Amino acid sequence: MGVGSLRVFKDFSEFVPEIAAELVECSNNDEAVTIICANEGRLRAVLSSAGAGPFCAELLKSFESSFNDGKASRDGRIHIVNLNHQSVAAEPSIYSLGDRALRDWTSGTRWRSCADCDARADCPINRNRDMLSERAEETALTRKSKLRLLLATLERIGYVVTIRDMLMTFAYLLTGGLKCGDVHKMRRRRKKGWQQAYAFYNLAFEAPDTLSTEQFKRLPLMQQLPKLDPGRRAIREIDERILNQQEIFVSGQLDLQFRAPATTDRELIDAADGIDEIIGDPRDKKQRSDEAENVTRVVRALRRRAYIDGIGSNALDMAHLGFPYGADFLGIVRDRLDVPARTLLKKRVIAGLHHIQGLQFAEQTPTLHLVDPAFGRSMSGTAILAARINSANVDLLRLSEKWGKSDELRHHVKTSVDWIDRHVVLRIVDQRGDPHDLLLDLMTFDCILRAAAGHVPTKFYEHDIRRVASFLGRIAQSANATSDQINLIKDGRSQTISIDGSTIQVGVA
Amino acid sequence: MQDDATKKVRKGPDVSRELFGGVLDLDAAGYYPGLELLNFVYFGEGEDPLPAGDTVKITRRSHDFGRRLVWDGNFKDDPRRHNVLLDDTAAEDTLRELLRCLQLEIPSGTKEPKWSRAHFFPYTPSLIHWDARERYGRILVERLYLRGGGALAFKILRTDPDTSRLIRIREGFNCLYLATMKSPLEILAGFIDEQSQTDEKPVVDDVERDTRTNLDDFENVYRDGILNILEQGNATSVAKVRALIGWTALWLVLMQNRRATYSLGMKEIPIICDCGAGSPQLRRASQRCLQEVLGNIVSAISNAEPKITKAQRNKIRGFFWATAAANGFLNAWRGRKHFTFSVDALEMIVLANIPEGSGMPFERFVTEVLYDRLGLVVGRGAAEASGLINAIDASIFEDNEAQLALQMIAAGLVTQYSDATRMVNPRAIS
Repeated sequence: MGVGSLRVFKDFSEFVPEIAAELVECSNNDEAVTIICANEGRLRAVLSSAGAGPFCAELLKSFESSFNDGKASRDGRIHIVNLNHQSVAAEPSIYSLGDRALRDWTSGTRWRSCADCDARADCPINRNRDMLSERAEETALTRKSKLRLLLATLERIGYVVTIRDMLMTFAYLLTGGLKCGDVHKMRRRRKKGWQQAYAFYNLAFEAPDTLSTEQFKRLPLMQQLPKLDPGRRAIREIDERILNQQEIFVSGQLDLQFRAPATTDRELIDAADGIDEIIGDPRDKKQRSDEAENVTRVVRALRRRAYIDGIGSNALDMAHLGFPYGADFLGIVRDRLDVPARTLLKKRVIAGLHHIQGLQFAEQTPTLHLVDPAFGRSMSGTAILAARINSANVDLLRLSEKWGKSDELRHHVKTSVDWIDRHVVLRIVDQRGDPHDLLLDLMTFDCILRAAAGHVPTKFYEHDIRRVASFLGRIAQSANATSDQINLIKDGRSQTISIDGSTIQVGVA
Repeated sequence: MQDDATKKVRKGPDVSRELFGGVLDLDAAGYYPGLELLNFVYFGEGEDPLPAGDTVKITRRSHDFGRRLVWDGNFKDDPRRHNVLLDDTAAEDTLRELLRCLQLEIPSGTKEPKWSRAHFFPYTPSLIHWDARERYGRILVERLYLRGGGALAFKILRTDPDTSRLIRIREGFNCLYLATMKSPLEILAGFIDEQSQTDEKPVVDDVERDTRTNLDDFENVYRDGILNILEQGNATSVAKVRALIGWTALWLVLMQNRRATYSLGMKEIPIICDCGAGSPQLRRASQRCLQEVLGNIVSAISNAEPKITKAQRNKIRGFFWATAAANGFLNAWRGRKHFTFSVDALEMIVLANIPEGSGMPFERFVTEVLYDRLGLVVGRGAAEASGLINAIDASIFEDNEAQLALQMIAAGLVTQYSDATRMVNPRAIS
C-alpha cells in the first residue's frame, strides 16, 4: 500500500494474538497510515505475544511510556489515543460528549410529533425532555452542568464511563424504559402521581417498579450512580429551604406530583409545598410506616431536584454527592486556588497524613512527620520517627501537571482526548531529593481530609488508608537516617532516645 | 490382646506428626508458626538461613527485658530498672508505650496478657524471639506457643529437592531485612535484645529433628509461595514478613485438611469460601464445609490413635479453626464460622502466588490459583469441577466470584480495563 492509503485494524478479538501480532508487524513495511483500535487487555496480549517483533515492541514501549511521561507520542510517528483517559464529562461543555449527546437528543426537531399528542401533559418522557432542553426551560443549562458533574465524579472515583455506557444511561434517564404506548396505557390505568418516579433525577438513583432487576443490571452505569445519591444526604441548609421555604419550586410541575397517602382525602400532593400535607395523624403502626415512607420518598426526590437545579451554592455540590471535601479536590483540578489557599490546604493534607499514621500533635505543625513503617498501623500516639519533611517538599498537583507544564509539552496526553483530571498527585520529595508520587482519586483525597478533620471511618476507607500508609512507609523506609539518635513522638511531643553502652535514656528533643 | 494393652497410648504430638508431619496444636495456632520459622531461619548455628543436615541448632532469645517491661506488673523489682533505665520512670513509660505498639496481635485476647503470652511482631531481625517463662525466679527459654508448626515449615524449605529453588529462597531470606538493618527501630530492638536472656550457645532442636517432610506434592506449593513472596521487589519488608507469616499459616491449614482426608482414604474436600455476596445458601454451605473439615480431622486422629484423650484430640482440631480465624480465612474467632477472605489474606495469597512483574487474568486466578492450587472454591468454574453445582445454583457462585473481584479491585489487587479484562497483580501492594 502506498502513500495516502489507510489501513484500519478495527478489533483484535477475531484473531489469536500471534496472528494479530504478525499482521501488526507487517503494517510497518509500507507507506500507509495504520490505525489500530483495540481493547487495552487485548492489545497488551497481542503486543507481547510470541508473534511480536521489533515494531510490536516499539508500540508496546510507546504505550507503556505514555503512562510515565504523559506523552501521547514520543516522536510524532506513533500516536497513542488511550480512551481510558477519554471523558464523557469534560469541561467546558462544548467538549463534553455527554452534553453534545443530550443537546442532540432533546433538540426540537426530534420531538415534533409530540406536539399534538393528547398524553403530552401527563407524559414523564416529555417532561424530562423539557427539563433538559434550554429552549423549554432556562434552568436546563444548570441541570446539564450538574449531570456533567455527576458523571465526572463517577470518573474521578475510578470508574471509566465508556461512550456506550453514557448513551445507554441517557436513553434510560430520558425514558425510564418506557415507550409511548406504555405511557398511554399507564395514564389510563394508574392513579395520578406515578410520573414522579420517572423524573430523570429520580431515575438516576433509583429504578422504577416497571423495570426488573435483571433489566436494571444491564445498565452498567446504574450500578454505580446510586452510590452518589444526593437524596440520601442531609444538608441542613438545603433541607430547611426545600421543606420550609415557599416557592423554591414552581407548583404544579408534573415531576413533583406525588400520590397522596390513603389517610388524606386528596388525590395528589404537590412536593413544591414541602411535606406538610403528608404529615397527618397516624393511628396505627401501618399508618405510621406509610407516613414515614411517603416522607422519605418526597424528601429524597426534593433533595435530588435541589442538587440538579442548583438550589444551594456551588460549594455544596460535592457534599450533595457524598464528598464533603470534594470542593477542595475541584479547587486543585480546576486550578482555582491562590497561594494562601493552597498552603492552607497543604497543611490540612499533612495533618490528614499524620492522622493516618496514628500521629497526634500537641500543636499544629506544617512539617510532615513520617513514622517508622512498623508503627504505621498502631494508633497509640507513640512511634519512632523515620523522617521529617518540610512542607515545601510536599505538593499537590493535578494529574495533567504531573509531567511538567501541560502547555509546554508536545503531544501531551491531555490534548489527545477529551480530558478531565481524575486524580490529584501528592508529591513528596524525600531528603535525598527524590520525588515520590501518589495518585489520589476523589475517594482517597476525601479520606485524607476527613482524617485531617479528626476522624475517619477506618473500616470503610480501609483500602485507601492502607494505600496511603504504605506509600508513606516506603518513603520512610528509604529515608532511614544513620544517626545514633532515635527520634520519637509521644503524646504529640518530640523526644529522643540515646543509647550509651548498656544504658538507655529518654530526653526531650 | 496383651500386645494391645501394653502398647502405650500415643500423645497428641506423636499423632499429629504421624498424620501431618509436624506438631500442630491449638496453643500454637495463628501467627506462631510464622514466628517460629523466622527464629529458625535467622538464628541457626551458621550463616546459612536454610542449612542441610539431620539436625539444626538454634540460639533462642527470650526478649524478656522488653516483654517484661511492657507486660509484667512485677517489673518494678527487676534490677535492670536501675542498671539499664537508671530508675527513670519517664523513660520507662516511654519505652513501654513504644514497645507496646510492636505487639503481635493475640486474636482471642481481650485482657492484658501475661508477658510470656505476648510477643513482638518481627518488624526487624532483632525483634525475632523465642518463648520464655519465669520459674522460681529464673527465666527459662522454652517452647510455649512455638510448638512445631514453624519447624515443619522450616524443614520443608531446607529439605527442598529442587536445588535452584532452595538457593533462591536462601538468597531471599538473606535480603528480606536488608532495608531495615540500619533503621532506628532495629538499633533500639538490638539494644533491648542485648539486655535479655539468650542461649549462650546454640542448642539442638528435637522437635525439628523429628519433623517429617517430603510427604506429598503440596509441599511444593508452600515452597513456591515463599519464593514468590521473597522475590517481590516492590513490597516493603514489613509487607513481606506479614505475607510470610500468613502464607505459612494458610498452607498449614490447607495441608491439615488435605492430609486428614488422605489418611482417611477419602477424596479431598474443596473449601467453599463465601465472599459476602449475600446468599444464605452459600453461607450455610460454607459453614457446613467447615464442620465437615473439622469432623474429618477428628476422624483421622481417632483412626490413628483410638485411645487418644478428647482434650488432646481437640487441640489438634483446634489448630485448624484458630489458625484460619487468626489469619482472616474465617469470618470470626467466635460464634458461627464460615470461610471467607480478609483483605490481608487476599493480599498475602496474591503475593505468594503471582510472581513479581507478572499478572494473571482474574478468571484464571480464581480457577488456577484458588481452586487448582489451593483447593478453595469461589467461582462457578471451581464449583463445576468439584461437583458442587448439583447442590447449589451456579449463579450463586457467579455472584460470589463477582463479589471477590469487587473486593480485590477495591484493595488494588486487581486492575480492571474497560474491555472487562481484569488482571491480578501484586504491584499495588507494598
